Amino acid sequence: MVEDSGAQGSHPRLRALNQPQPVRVEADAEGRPLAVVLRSRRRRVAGVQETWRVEEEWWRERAVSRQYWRLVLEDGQVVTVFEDLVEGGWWRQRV
Amino acid sequence: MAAARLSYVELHCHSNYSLLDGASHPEELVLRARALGYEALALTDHDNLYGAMQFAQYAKAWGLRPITGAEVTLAGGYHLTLLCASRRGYAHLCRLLTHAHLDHERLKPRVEPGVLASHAEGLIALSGCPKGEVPSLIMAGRLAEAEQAARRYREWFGAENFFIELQRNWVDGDARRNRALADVARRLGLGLVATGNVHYHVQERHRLQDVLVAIRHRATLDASHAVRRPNSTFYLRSPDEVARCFADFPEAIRTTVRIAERCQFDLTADLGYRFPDDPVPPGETADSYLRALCYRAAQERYGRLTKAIADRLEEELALVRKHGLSGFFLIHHRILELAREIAAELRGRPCRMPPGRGRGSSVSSLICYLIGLSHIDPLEHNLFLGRFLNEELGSVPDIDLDFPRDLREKLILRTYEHFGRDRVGLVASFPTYRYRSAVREVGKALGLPPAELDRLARLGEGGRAAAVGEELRRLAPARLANPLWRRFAEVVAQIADFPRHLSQHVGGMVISSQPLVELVPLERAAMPGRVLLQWDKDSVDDARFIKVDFLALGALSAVEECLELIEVHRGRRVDLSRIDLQDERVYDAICRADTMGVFQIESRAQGQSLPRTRPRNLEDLTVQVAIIRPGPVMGGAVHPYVNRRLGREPVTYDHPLLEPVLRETLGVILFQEQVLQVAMALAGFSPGQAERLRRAMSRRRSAEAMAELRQLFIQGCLQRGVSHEVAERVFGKIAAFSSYGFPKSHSAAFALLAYQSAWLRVSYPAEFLCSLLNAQPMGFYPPSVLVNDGKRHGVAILPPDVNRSRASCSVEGDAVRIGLGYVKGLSAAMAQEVEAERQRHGPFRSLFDFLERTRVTREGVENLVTCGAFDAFGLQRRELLWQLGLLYRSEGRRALVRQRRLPLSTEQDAAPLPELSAWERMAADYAALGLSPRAHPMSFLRRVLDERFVTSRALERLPDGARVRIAGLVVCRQRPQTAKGVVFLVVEDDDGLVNIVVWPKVYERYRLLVRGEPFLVVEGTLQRRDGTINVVADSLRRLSLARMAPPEARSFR
Repeated sequence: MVEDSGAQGSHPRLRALNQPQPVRVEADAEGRPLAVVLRSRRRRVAGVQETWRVEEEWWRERAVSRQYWRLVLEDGQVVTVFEDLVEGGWWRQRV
Repeated sequence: MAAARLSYVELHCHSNYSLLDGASHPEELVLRARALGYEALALTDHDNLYGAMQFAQYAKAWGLRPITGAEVTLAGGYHLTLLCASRRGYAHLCRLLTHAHLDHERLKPRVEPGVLASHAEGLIALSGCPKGEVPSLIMAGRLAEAEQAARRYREWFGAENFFIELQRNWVDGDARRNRALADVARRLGLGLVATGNVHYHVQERHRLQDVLVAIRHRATLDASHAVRRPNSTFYLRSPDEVARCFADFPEAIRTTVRIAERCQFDLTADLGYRFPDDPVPPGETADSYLRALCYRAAQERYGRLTKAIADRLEEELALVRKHGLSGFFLIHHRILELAREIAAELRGRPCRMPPGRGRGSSVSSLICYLIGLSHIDPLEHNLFLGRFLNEELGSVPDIDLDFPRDLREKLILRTYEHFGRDRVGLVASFPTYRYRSAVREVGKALGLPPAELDRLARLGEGGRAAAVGEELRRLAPARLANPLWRRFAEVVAQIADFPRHLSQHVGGMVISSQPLVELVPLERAAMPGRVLLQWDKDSVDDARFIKVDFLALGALSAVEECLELIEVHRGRRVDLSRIDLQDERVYDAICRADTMGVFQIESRAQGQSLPRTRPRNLEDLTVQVAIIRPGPVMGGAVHPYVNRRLGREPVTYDHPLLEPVLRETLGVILFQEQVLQVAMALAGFSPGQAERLRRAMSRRRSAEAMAELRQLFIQGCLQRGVSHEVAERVFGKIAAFSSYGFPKSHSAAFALLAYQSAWLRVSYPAEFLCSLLNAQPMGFYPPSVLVNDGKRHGVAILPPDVNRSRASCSVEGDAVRIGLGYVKGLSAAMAQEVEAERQRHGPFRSLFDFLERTRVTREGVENLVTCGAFDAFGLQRRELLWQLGLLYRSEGRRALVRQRRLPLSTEQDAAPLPELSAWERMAADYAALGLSPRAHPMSFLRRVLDERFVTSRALERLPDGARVRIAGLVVCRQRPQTAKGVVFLVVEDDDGLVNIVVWPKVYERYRLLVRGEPFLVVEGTLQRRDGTINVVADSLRRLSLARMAPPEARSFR
């Protein structure tokens, strides 16, 4: 048996995910963000640094399933947003 | 764009043999990979090859090329993926894994860098999952060190054999890590390879995987967040999906195919295992020596060699020579010689009886008979050799050896010493999740209330975990409304049959001529000093290793002791291989179901069957042993067989094609090999396909594999002009039979032992009973029932006596004296100490003398008194107990022993006490011995029952349909899963046994009585069927014992 093979080195603790804010995101048909609206200003996505999936708490009433995106916007700002794959909707995550 | 589909081979894949990590059976991975269009698949479990053979066999059977590998744990905890390119690479992997396990603490395998470096040849290494050394260092920001590490691996394996592994499981950091890994690869000129780090075959299994991780960490899901996988993408991906995942590294996908092409090692091909040659005298070869041994033994056995004997021997020797099996027989001969030496040491005198015996088809061979492996003269009994040895032998014949219990333990150690520690290994087994363990562990991981889980686990009927849904519906229907409980049921059903840990097979050993570690990895067993192969018996069988099974068989211990008792008491040496195998007295008893204590045919179910099938020879008995098995019962074979045997219905076949294979069993499937024969005859299966069917049924039962085989079977039948309906019906029978039956040869060997024990029972009832009592626990009935049966067969039972009893039971004339070891509170060692003390210093003269000379506990002495072991001193038991109390007084025994020279008179304190009543004596016997040598409780209770009660013997004279009322002690309760809720009771009264049938409706009404009440009154209808007698109960009540206990007895203590 191997200890810990499930651990992912840099995976964020669940606690850090706890305070997401709703955010407007425009995405293509496959869910890829094209633009993010921050403080009423639409900014195009210039690049994707990373995208990852979190699935958790399937044993609870409300399971967690999110697709995260760490995006570089046209003005150089880096934001992390996720799409709630259970209920729909986009949220911004402040790390 | 090219229309050709992008090929991909998964090179990093875990099965559930990555214990408590992988969440799919190897079979499920194979079938899924095939469905996805893979051409090859690697299995890389953590630090083991547990599932490698099973996986390889299965993959080949389904047309998928298996790649053998492992993900090893290196010193420092880093992971590394290793794949076998060649036979040499495989040997190196075996050595690396063995080193990881044997040179480190148990369950903490580690490969040291130096050892890895010197065993790299023939292996292809991938840099590993995020826990690999290179990726770990990258993520830690130590880029220079990462590159240095990669350089080191490149040096060890060579630039063409070391690849940088890229994984994309949608985990934060994947993209960054892969970019850095690709940089390292470019700078060092290494290839990139994409892998999926697969932990389950389909996405839905991620829940089970989460639960497995939680179980491994003994935590709930909530508490194991940090160690669980962050999402559900660790499944086998379709090549298209892989292409999307690695769109930025297309060459990494192409490399998978290139690596797969280089991994040409085939685990299913010959591994080069050879069994060792036993040294033969100078000038002899194995062939010539075996021949000489056989001729010498034949001379001894037969005196004169007839032509028939010589012909048969020559025929067998020629076959053995042809298949190169002389050495194989000599090894078995050697093992039996070792066993004989041990037997002589254990018994303190030369052993005349062969110390073990073969079961299985070996009994048909004259060579086996002559070298002492089998106990049956195949010529005299006209046994057909073909199944054991024939012209086209696919594999080495199977030889299982049964030994008395004590001998077996020593023989395992002696075999190690004789053949060398690195050449002998024990076969592993993998205990799997069953209903109870699955309910408890999954429930705990989900954080469900322990009390409720405990109830569900205890009240469930047990068995397969897959049935948890039904149990929940039955026991806690309200729970199914709760989504968490529904998840629970889903996961419990999935975890069914998952291996939980590595354990030791009951008796299998592999002996090899070269070090085993080149053939299969070795690992420590929990028992210190024992080394296990990483394979179970099926894998060992697939590898064509020779497994010698040393099995412990209680019945054999009993038979051996019985022969010894006969020799000591009657001065007669019985040679069981020469007894009359057609003794009518024996078959008469068998047909009456008068078989209590007889190996294999004593159970309640057998008792119901014997008067119907009426076996009259060994062939019949062979069927009889096979028929009361779950396979034939579930396959619906029993009733047709019985009716056909009795001539009540014609022998018919589901299809004329089946006649040749089912003729000997009257058209039904009774033996395991008939399943294969039916598939071949009806569906035109090749032997290989039939074997696959057997595997699918007998090993991990996989619903998907069975469905595919069913399809194949039905197609095959249709092609041969068999109707769809018949094909379905026959497949249903095969599936129901499954693997829960005996092969014929095995039944034959068991039938012989059954006959021999029946013969001993008829011929030497006292010795037979005595040996049974000493071989407990074994068999179907408890000692209290065995002694009552003995009494009905003229064997007197004598109570324990401190001056006459030995430690174990012994024979006195035609009576059996209960041994001191039967007295509760006396350990076996203590009983032996008492016997030894008596032999050294003469009989005990009084209770006081006994206390002085032995160290038996007060409880033990009290029980000795209670059951009458001191009766010979002329005092009553109550007086003795009174005395005992005075002797102990408050100082206790130690004080007494220290002051033993003080005059000690208790007479002045003696009180006149009434004698125990006969009922009380009997009750005391049961309390102290678990049986009564004197009387059956019902002989007393009978007096308080009115004339409407009938005895078990009187039932024999009543007609079918008579209303009866009986009373007795319940000695057996059964609720077989095959009987649809019917409960069977066996009730014993002072005359014998009565079979009671309780239908489900009646059972529901009297459940508590049936489950727990020792004495029952049963009213019902007598049912006579073909010589069997049953009482079908319609009401039950408890039989009150209140009137049997006189008031003064209560006030006494």
